[in-house]
Amino acid sequence: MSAFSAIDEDREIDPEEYTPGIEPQATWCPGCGDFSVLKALKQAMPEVGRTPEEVLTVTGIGCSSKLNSYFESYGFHSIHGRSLPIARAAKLANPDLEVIAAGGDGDGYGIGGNHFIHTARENHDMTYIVFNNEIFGLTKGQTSPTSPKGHKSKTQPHGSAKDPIRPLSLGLTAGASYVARTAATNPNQAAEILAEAIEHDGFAHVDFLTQCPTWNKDAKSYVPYTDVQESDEFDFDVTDRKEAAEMMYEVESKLYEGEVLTGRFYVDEDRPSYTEEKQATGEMPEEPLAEKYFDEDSEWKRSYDLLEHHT
Amino acid sequence: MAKAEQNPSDEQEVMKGTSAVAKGVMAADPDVVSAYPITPQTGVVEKLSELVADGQLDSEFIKVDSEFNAASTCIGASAAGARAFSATSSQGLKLMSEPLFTAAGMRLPIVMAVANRSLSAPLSIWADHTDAFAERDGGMLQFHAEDVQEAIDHVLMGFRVAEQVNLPVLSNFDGFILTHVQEPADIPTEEEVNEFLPPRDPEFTLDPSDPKTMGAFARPEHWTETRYAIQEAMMESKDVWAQTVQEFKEVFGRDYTEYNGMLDTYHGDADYRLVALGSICGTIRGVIDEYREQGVDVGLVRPRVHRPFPTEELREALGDAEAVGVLTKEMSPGYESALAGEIKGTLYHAENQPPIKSFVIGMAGRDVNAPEIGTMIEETMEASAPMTFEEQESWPQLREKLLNGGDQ
Repeated sequence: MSAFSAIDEDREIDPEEYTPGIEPQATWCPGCGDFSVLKALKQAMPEVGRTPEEVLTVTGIGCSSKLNSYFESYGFHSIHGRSLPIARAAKLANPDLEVIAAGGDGDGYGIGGNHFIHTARENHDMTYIVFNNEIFGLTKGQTSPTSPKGHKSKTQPHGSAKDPIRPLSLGLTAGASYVARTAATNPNQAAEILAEAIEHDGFAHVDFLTQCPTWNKDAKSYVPYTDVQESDEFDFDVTDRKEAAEMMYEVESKLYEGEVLTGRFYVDEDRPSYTEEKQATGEMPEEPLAEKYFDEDSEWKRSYDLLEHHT
Repeated sequence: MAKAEQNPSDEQEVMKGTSAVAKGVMAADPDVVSAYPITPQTGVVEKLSELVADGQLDSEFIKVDSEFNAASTCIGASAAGARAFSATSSQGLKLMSEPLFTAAGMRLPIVMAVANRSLSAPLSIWADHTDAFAERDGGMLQFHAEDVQEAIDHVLMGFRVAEQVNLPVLSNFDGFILTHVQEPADIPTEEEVNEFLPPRDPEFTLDPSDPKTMGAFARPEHWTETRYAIQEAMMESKDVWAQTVQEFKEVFGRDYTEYNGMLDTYHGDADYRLVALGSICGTIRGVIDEYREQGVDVGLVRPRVHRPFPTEELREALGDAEAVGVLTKEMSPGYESALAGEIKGTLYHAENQPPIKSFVIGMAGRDVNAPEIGTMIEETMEASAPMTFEEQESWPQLREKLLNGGDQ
C-alpha cells in the first residue's frame, strides 16, 4: 500500500458504500435501464474488493453520464464524448486507481468514437461501460449511432438511412482485450460481467443495453435475452479472435432482428496493457507518477537529484 | 422596437422560439441543413427536419455524429455552392470553432442560429453569452436578438449579408429565454422572402469547370493578406448590413434601420445610458420606464450587431452620455468583460469619453430582476473618472457565502 492510496484495504465492502449522501436517488426516468447499470456496478465493486476511495468514474455528457453523481467514488463529469482521454490520463498518472469510464452510445460511438478506437488500441487497463439505448435520451429522442436502420425519430421522421454502428466488432477491431454485452434486464449477469471487466488487466469494453422507456418506446426492452455462455446453441472460443469476430457480427445483426444475445465475446488475458508496455521499455516508473505529490520523501529526493545534476 | 404587441395581429402566429426560427429558415429555403442535438438549440433543427420530412422544405437534412461534423458538412455544402444552415449552443459552438474559423478563411457563407448557453465547467444548460464571445475573433458576423421576432429576422437578414460578403454568420438568441418562450411573431412567407433574398450566387465554389483548391497551405508571404481580406469583408459588411435592414423594412415593414441597423435604442439621448445585449433588454426597458417616471433620465443602447463592431454608431450613441453602465452576460478572466473593454476601446479616440461602469450579471441563467437593474442604474449614475481597475467592473450578483465555503 503506497503512501497516498488506500489500495488493498482488507475488509468487507458493502455495495451501499457506493450510494452517495448528496444524491442517493438518481433522477433518471422511471423504468430507465440506467438504474440497472448503477445497481450492477454497486454489486460488482465488493466483488473486486475496491472501496469508493480507490475508484475514479469518468463520464461524458448524456443521461447515462450522470452516473457519477449517483455513484460514490471520485467523479469526473467531462464534456461530450471525452471521457476516455481523461480516464486514460488519470490511469497513467496513478495506475493504482480503479478507472471506470462511462457514457452513452452517442457519446462513445459517435462524437467520441475516435477516442474509443484509440483507447482500445492502446489497451489501457480500465473499464469502459457504454449505456446503449439506441437513442439520444438527454436531448429528447434523436437517432443515435446505434439506432437501427429505418429508426424513426424527430430528426429522422422517414427513418434513418444509416446502418447502425457494430459496437462489439468495433471494440474488437480497435484492440479492446475484453469485450462483452449485457442488458439492464439481466442484473445478475450484468454484475458478473462488470466485475470481470474491472478485474481484467487491459481495456475492457462493456456494451450495456439500457432500455429508454421515455424516448425510445418502439425499441426492444431487451427481453427475452440469451446468455451465449449459458446456451447450448452457441459454441465459440472467447479467446479466439476470429471466432469472436464471427460471433459478434451475428450478435449485432440478431439484435436488430429482435433477438438479444448477451455475454462475453472476446477475452485476451495475455496482451500487455499500455502501462506494462511502457514499463517494459523503461519509459514509465513502477511507482505511480502522481505519488510524489503525496510523499514527504519525494521533496528530499528531488532536492538531491537537483544537486546531483548541478554539481 | 422589440416591445411585443399586447395582442397578436391576425398575421402573427404564436409558437415556440425554436419553431419560429425554423420556420424563418424554411422561408430562406436552404439547400443543406446539418446539425447535432444540443440543449437548448435542438428544437430548431428538429422542426427543420420535420419540415423537410413533411415535404414543406426541399432541403437536404444531414444528421451527423458531432458538431464538428455539422460545421464541416456546412462548409462542404457551401463550398459546392449551396445555401447552408446549422444551429447549435455552448459546447457545440466550441466544437464548431475550428471548422468555423476555416469557413471564414475560405470565405464560405454559412448561417447559424446560436441558442446562447454558458460554457462548461461547471456544466450548465442555461443562457449567457460566453459561447458567442468565445468565437468573437473567428471572422464570423454576430447578431444578438432581443425577442423571437428578431431571432427570425436576423437569420433571414443573415443569409443576405453572409452571401454578399462571403463570411459565416452567427445569429445569437438567448437559450430558454427566447428558444422556449411562446411569443406572437410574423413568420415570413416564401413570397416575401423571394423578394428580399435572391438565390445564392456563389463567388467561391468548387466548380469542376474552374478547378481550385480551398484552404491550401499559405506561406508567410500569403497568409496575412488572406486573413486581412476577412477584415476588409467585415468592414464592408457594415454597408451591406445597412442596405439589408433598409430593404428588409421595405419588404417586411419591420424597422431595424436605427443606427444603420447596428444599434437599437430606447430613450437613447438620456443622461445615463445602459448597454446590454439580447433578451435582458426587455426587462431593462421596464426598469427604465419606472425610473423615468421618478424623473431619472436613463435610457438603453442595445447593440444588435457585435461583429462587425458598431464603432462609429457607439461613439455617436454614447459619446454625450453623463455615464454609461454596461450590463453583460460574459466575462474575460484576467481582464474585464469583453463587451465593456471593447466599448471603452471604441471610445478611446472619440471626442468624448463618458465614465463607464460594467456589471457581469445573468451568468448561466441566473435571473436578473428589476431591483437589481435599478441598483445598477444608480451605481452608473455615480460613476466618475478616473477609476481604478477594481472600480470599473463589478459582479453584483455574487453570492459571497458560496465563495467563502458555504454550501447553499
